[in-house]
Amino acid sequence: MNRSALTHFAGIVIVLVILAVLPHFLRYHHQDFLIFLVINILVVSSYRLVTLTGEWSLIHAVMMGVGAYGSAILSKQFNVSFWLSMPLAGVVAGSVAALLCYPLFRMTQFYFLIGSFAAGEAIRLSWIHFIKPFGGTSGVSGIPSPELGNIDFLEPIPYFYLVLIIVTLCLFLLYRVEKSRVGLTLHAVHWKAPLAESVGVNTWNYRSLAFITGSVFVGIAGALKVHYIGTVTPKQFDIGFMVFILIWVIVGGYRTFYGAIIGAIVLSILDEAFREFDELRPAIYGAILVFAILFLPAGLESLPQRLREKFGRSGAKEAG
Amino acid sequence: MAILEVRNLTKQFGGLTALNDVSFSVEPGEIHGLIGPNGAGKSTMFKNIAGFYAPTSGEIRFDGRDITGLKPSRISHEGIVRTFQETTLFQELSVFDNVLVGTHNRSRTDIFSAILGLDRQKQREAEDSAIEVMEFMGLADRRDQLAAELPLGSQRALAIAIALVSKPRLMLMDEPFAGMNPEETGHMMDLTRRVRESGVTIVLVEHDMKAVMGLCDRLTVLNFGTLLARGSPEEVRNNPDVISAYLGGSHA
Repeated sequence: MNRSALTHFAGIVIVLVILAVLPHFLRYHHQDFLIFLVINILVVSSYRLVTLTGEWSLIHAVMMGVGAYGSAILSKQFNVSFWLSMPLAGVVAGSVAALLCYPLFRMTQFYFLIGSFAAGEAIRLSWIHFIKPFGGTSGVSGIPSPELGNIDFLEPIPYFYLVLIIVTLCLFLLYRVEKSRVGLTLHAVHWKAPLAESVGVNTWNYRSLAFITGSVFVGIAGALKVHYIGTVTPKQFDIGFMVFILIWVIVGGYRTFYGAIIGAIVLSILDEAFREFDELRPAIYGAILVFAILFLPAGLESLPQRLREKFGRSGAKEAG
Repeated sequence: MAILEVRNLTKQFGGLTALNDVSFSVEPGEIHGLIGPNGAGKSTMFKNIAGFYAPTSGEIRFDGRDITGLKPSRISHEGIVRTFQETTLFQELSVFDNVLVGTHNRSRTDIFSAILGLDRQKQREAEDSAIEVMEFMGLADRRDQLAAELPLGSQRALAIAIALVSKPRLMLMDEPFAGMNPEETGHMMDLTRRVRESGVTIVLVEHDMKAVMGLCDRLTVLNFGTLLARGSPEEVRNNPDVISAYLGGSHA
C-alpha cells in the first residue's frame, strides 16, 4: 500500500470510528436523524454513478421508492425475511430500471431529464392508483423490522449499526466500480461520446449500465429507510425529495466521489439546525443553492483547494 | 484484395445529395488520401465508413465483409477506428486514462469482475499496451498530464494513440494536420508513417496539399459529392479536372 492510499485508509477508519461511537452521545431524535443521513449518503453516492455518464435523471428518488415498496410488499405479504427482501429490493429496482432503459435512453440530456421525470411520475401514480398491492396515498404500513437473535432493531442504535455496515459495504462497491475500467469508460462516455464509440464503446449499453447499477443501490437504500420507519408512502419519494438529492450533489460537487457525500452531510446538518424555523427552511435551502452556484460553482469539494490557493497568494504577497 | 471497398455509395440528406454514386478502394498497407475542395463530401464519406451515418444506398466492404450501416462501436470491433477533426479527446482525463479507454475493444471487462477484482490480469495487460503505445507515440513523459493541457502536436499524437491502442487494421484520420506549423506537420508525417509501418492501413482526409502529396501512396479526389479522379499523387496533380476544380476555372 503506498502512502496516499494509507492516509485514505486511515481517514476512512477514523470517520467510521467516530460514526460508530457518535449515536451514544446523541438524543433519541438525533439518532433518527443520523440513520437517515447515512441512508441519504447511499442515495447521493448511487446517484453519482448514474450521473457519471453525464445524464442527470429525475427518477432516482422514485427508484428508491421502487426498492422500498418491493421490500415492504415482499416482507409483509409474502413473509420474506428482511435479510432477503433488502437485497431483493435492489434487484427489483434494478429490473425496473432495466425495463425503463429502452425508452429513456433514446433521449439524451434535457430530453432525458424530462423523460425520466415523466417515467418517475408514472410509477408514483401507479402506487397511488393501484390500491392493491400498493395501498394508495396512505401506502403500506406495518412493515416488519429486521430480526436477528434478540437484537431489537426498533431501537435506533442497533438499526444505526445495521445501516452503517450495509451503507459502508455499498459505498465500497460503488467506489470500486468508479475506479475500475468500467468507471473510466463511464467518464469517457460523458466527456466525448463519439470518440468513445469510435474505439468500440457501446454508449447506450454503458448509460444503461450506470442507470441500472445506481438504481440497484438506491433500491437498497429505500428498503433500509422503510424497514426503520415501518411505513412506505408515495409522498416520501416525490419530486421534492429528488430536488434535495440534486441540491446535495450540486452543492457538494460532482467531480469527486466524496463531493456528493459532503453535500449531503453539510446540508442535512444545516437543515436540522434550522428545524425550529420550519417555514423558513425552503427559503434557506434556496439561498444556499444560489450562493453555492455563485461563489462555489465547483462545490464544497473544491473548498480545500480554493482555501489553499487563497492562503498561498496572501503568503506570496507578504513575501513580496 | 482491397482491404476497404466502397461501391456506388450515395448519401442524401433530405433533398441534398452529399455523396453521389462514389466508388473507391484502399489496398492493405497503403496511405490513401481523400481530398477535394470544401463541401466535396470527404467528411460525409468518413462518417459513412465509420458508421456515424448510414448510407442511402451503396455498399461498404471491409476485408470482404459487408459493414454497411453498422453502428460505430460495431465497426470499431471489425477493426476500423477513426480520429476526429480538431482535437477530440477526453479533455478532463489524464493522457494515460485517455489511452486506456482505447483498450476497450481488446480487453473487455464487466461490472461484476470490476467489483470483485477478477480483472486484475486484464487490467495489467491493458495498462501495459497503453504504456507501449504512449512510448511509440512519444507521450510517455506526459503520462499524468490532463489531455486539455497538452500542446496541439501532442494532442494530435494522443488522438492517434487512443485509436492505435485498439489495434485497428484501418485508421481513418480526419484532417490530422489542420492548424499545424511546418515543424509540427513534419513531426506528424513521421508519426503517420510509423503507424503505417506498424501494419495499419491509413485513409486520411486532409487539406494540406504538401503533406498529402508527400505522404500518400494513392489519392481519391471528390468534388460536389462525386468522384473526380483517382491515382497516384503524380497523376492526380496533373489531372486537368482536378486542377480546374481546385482553381475554380473552366477547361481552358
